[in-house]
Amino acid sequence: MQSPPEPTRRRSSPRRRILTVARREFIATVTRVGYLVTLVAMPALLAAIALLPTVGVALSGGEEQLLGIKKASELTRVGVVDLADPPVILATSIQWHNDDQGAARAEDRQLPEHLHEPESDLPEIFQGDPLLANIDYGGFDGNRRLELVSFATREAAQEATLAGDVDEVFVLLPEYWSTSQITVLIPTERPLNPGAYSGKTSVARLIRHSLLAPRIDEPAVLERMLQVMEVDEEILDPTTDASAPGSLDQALATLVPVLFAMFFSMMIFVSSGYLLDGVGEEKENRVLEILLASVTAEELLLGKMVGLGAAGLLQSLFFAAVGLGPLLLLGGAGVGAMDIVAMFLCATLGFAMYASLMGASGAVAGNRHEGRQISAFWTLLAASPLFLLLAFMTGEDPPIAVALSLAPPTAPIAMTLRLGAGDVPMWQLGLSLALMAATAYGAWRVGSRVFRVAILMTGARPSLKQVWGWVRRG
Amino acid sequence: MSEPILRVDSVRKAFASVQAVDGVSLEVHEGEVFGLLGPNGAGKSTLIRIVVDIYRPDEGAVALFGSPMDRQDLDRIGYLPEERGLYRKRKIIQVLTYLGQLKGLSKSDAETSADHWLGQLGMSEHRDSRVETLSKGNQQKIQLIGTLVGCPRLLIWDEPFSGLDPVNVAQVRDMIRGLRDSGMTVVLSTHLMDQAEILCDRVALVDHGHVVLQGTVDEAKAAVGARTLEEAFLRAVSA
Repeated sequence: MQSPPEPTRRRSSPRRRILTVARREFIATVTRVGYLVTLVAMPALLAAIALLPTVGVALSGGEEQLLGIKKASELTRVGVVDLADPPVILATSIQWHNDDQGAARAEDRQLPEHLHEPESDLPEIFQGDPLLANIDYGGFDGNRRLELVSFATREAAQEATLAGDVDEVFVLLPEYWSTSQITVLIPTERPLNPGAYSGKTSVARLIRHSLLAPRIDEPAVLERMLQVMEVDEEILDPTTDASAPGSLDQALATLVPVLFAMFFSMMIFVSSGYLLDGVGEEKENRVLEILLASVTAEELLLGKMVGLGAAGLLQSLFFAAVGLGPLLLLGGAGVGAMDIVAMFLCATLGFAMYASLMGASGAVAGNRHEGRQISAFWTLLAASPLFLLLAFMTGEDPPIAVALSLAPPTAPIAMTLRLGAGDVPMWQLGLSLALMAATAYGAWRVGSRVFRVAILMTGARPSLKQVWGWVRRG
Repeated sequence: MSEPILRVDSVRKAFASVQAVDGVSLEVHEGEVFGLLGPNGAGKSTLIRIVVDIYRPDEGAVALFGSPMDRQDLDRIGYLPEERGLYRKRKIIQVLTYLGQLKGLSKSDAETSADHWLGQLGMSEHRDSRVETLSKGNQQKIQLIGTLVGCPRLLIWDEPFSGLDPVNVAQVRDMIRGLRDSGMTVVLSTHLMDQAEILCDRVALVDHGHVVLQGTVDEAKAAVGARTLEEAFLRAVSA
């Protein structure tokens, strides 16, 4: 048996071995089908979720069919049948309502400004606001023109409804005077918008008019009882308009830190999840002992952290470009470049910290499934600041937010949230990063000790006491 | 006699209350096949893990290639553990190249070496196959090549015959002979005494962490008046 020609052997150093492991882990991970599918499928899934309503509307025959609501420019006809004894509805009141509608059209009376057809490229579904239905603007009901039609009998009303002459019919039942009971006839079920009736407010206004008109002499009082309040908004300080409650900028300023925190959380857990899986896989494949005859446990763990961290970072950056990029482009998100750098540092140190622990967890576990069970503890610990999200969103740095952002296990996410929500004193940021770096180093040392011993173990999972013994003995 | 390629000097290792290796000393010389023999649980694998620096000894020392063990020395050792496997989803050439790189070879040298050994063992056609597509016997061959691809001076194979059918056992035996003929030093850990008797130049019989018998195969047999190595071992253990 012949040996090959003696190769040029480079002096292997820890750095070279770590980089060799890192390169293999990176390439092995990014070429996995699962990785590539996730890379493409995740943004595609999010896009599908965003487009689902539009598709649903298209498939169901349009917004009107799906929601039971018409667009602002279309006329809606609503029927009324008065079976109450004595009758409630006055013919003059119906006449009053329809005259008001006619006058609105004749005067080209405008809908309230925010209900105008928006000048936008958004699909039609997003232009109307179903939540604004049933708001009475006088002459208009919600954001549509509405005409009332009286029917003498319920049968006639049903026939007209089924024929499509009217959209719905309000039937005042014989016991109306004692119960206010009304039945609404609709042609078909409206699964996405049950209980929303186009003419509800107008019919209520009609009934009020019918009840009050014969009994109140003063037209002005009658008018005020029918339309109690007309609201106009007055902005006192236009310079702070951008942060006015409900504005887009304010919504983004609230949303973006959360999204960044979630993005960096994802980076931590996706990458360390790969590490956990990788260690589990190598343990199952029994490759580890072969590797440990060439690299130390510390080098192997660090190489995995570098390689898988890079793979996770690549994936997260791609998601971020797809998901967070558009948000940042909208501007005014309140997250500056330095904040993003600081968040990235938090995420990197967070990854270093948790990857070591995940690696050790993977080594302690008997298989990948068991590893995931153990790692759930670390995931919950790191993500715990997200359960106290409101405390971070105030931007006032309550003590709990400060404490969580300084405590290394929760700092990666907590500090990211604080950086997004407002200014963080430099000393706190520096202290937090220093503590995270120290803890990451400690976690790597401790993780490596456990990793070195546990990695060759098979059979029963070691007890916490045993693991502690390994940590102490080194 | 030349300086031993491997010297183990009074090594002890305990796990909790179990003394796995208890004052073992032995020497392995260049170009020989050295048998580390003993039943399961005798302490052979623990001793080997100490030699390849996976475990640190509680006491004693290991010297490799004539000087106290240094991490760099591991680049010249090809180690086949008893519990072994490969990356099942990866191509064979990728796995072998990686193992070569971990021994300090450049990627191209590691690939050249892998191709050489695949050719020597008639496995070239599987070069670009995934590990999981191979039969168990062929996977074992790839594992053996994995120990050779780093161009080692010393091979340490722990139970290389385990799980093999007679045909593959014969192939591995021929491979060990071929390697010895090419000047390679091989430490063979096994509990198959008949194979050890055929292959080994010298042996150390280990039981309960102690070396109970050491020398050439003939010396070991003569020391206890046995006709076979297996008989020698049984007598040494019961003595």
